[in-house]
Amino acid sequence: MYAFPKFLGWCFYALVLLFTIKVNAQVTVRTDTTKIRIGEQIRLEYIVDAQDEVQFPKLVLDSLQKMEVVKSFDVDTIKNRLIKKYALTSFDSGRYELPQQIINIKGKKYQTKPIVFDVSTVAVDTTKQKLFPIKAIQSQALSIKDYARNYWYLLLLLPIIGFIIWWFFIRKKETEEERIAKIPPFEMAVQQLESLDKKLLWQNNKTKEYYSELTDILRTYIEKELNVPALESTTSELINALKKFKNESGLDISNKTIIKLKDLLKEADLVKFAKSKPYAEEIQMHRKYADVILEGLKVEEEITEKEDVVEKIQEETPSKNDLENPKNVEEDAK
Amino acid sequence: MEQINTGVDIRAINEKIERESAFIDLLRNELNKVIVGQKYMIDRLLIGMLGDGHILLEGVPGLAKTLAINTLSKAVKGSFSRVQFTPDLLPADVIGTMIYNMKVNDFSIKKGPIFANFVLADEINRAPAKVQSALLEAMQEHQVTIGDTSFKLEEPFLVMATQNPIEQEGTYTLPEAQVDRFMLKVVIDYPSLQEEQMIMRANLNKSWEKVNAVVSLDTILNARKAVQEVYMDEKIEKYILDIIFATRYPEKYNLADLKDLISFGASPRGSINLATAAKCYAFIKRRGYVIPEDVRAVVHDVLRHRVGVTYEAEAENISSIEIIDKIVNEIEVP
Repeated sequence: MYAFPKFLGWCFYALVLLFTIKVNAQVTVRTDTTKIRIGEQIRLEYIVDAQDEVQFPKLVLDSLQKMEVVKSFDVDTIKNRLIKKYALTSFDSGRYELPQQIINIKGKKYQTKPIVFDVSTVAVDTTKQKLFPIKAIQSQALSIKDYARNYWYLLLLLPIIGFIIWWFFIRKKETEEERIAKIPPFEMAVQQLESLDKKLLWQNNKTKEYYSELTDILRTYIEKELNVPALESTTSELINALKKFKNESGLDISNKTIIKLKDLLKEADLVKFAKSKPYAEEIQMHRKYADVILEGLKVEEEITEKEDVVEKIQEETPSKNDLENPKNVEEDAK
Repeated sequence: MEQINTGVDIRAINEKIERESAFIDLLRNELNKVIVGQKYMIDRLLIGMLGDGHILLEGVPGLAKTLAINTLSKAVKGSFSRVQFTPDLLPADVIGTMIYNMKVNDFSIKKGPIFANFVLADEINRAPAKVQSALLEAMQEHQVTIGDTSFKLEEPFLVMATQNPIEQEGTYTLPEAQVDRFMLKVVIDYPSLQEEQMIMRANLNKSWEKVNAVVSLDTILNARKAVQEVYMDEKIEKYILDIIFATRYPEKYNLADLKDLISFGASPRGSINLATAAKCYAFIKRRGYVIPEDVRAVVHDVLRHRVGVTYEAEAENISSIEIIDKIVNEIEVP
């Protein structure tokens, strides 16, 4: 019954679709359709046959404000022509008129024709439609923004977590050697001497071991405290290096300390290399010497001053020195 | 102080060495009558003589090399001969040959200049390899074969060979295997200004004193036996071996940077000679035991020619002496 009018209506809209309305020679409005269902989009174009001094106004929508601009495209430039495109839609059924638009071309105002759009609803026949259970609420995947909005306070925890990871997993745990290395040389030497005393080496006829350890403690102390190469130096080289260090650094190292060190090292050489066995009184005396030497060579806060001197001494390696001046070794060995 | 009795009586050794080495001062005084300075060279000559080794001497002409060995031979009442090595020298010119004797109508043996207690092989690198080999074989075996007859060389037998470091053209460089047979390679330098002034004055005034024979050859031979008795502690042995092994495997001694600089390390002959030279040095210092100073005093002369340097080292002007310096400055003294 309604088929014929409906057909006519379709024909009419098809003509409108294909029909290009010429506002005048220069401005044309074109649309892909004038009839849509709710939510469908209409492509609307304003075509101007000019390129200079053209101003497209802001699109004026229908008076009921039922039409909506989905997207306003940039002006498209083709040969001697500008095209401004819009995507429109509506979510209310009805007939809406897009009013005349005013386009400025070289100071002149040109009006487009109004366009009428029909927005229809979708006919739903619930009697023929199969029933489905109500769908559960669908959850949407959260984006980074959602997380950032919801869990921003976790960022504050990151440094703490990072610190915990570093502390327990990344940080190199201090070894026993490193711990020992941090102990000041003087305290270290004192501890080692006390430990040596407790071993009762010489009392148990292990004089050689006793003197070996005693001289090792002193040499290590000198090397660490004064930065004078001691472990790799012979007795005479070490004494010469200390004398030189004393003269060049200006540190208050007494001659008595150096003489005591020399006596002790010479005696130790005899014990270590010539199977000499000193009397108990001599051993005790040398032990006391060790305390005096530690005190005598202790440096307080004069490190910066001594560093230059140390470098000088290290540069002049003992063996080279001895090679050039064999007198040093020979006289001291004597 | 008392001596411990652990199989080796150091006190007795010390006393013996004191006694046996008494001639050293006498010998020195005699040598000093005509040789000004060069204490370093004289000590090495004594080490070579006492250690039953030979010496390769490197120094520019005119540094009293010939005079030193000649004077030494006079002072110990030994025979001396000098062979000037030239490119046309033949082995027979050094060791001797068979000469046809018209009277007896047979060949008789004519001994060469090597039959002497002290032989100076001047500019050894100027003679071709066959002559060098003949000499070096005699040095090693202390024996010479002429024709069918072998002759033992008279003891003490000390060869002092010289090399001129500034002229290399037309020379036959001694191969490493041959150089290794020299106990010491000594590099001597110019005398000091004061010493040269004394030399100049004495030459101008012709005021050299006559050198007398103050030591017999038997004394030297007895001293050689005494040197063997000089006590060397296990710690010193370990120290020597550490040095030798560091020339072979520097990376094991925290000296990895030397690995690319050393083409070959010291041979076992190096450790034997280092130990012997250290004992000799202790002896001439009139001590019955070896201390690290003794090792340090001779280590350069013993190892200088036994440590080969690579092309990389040569390109960087790094000599074997610098390598030895690095080694002895790294290895801890016992």
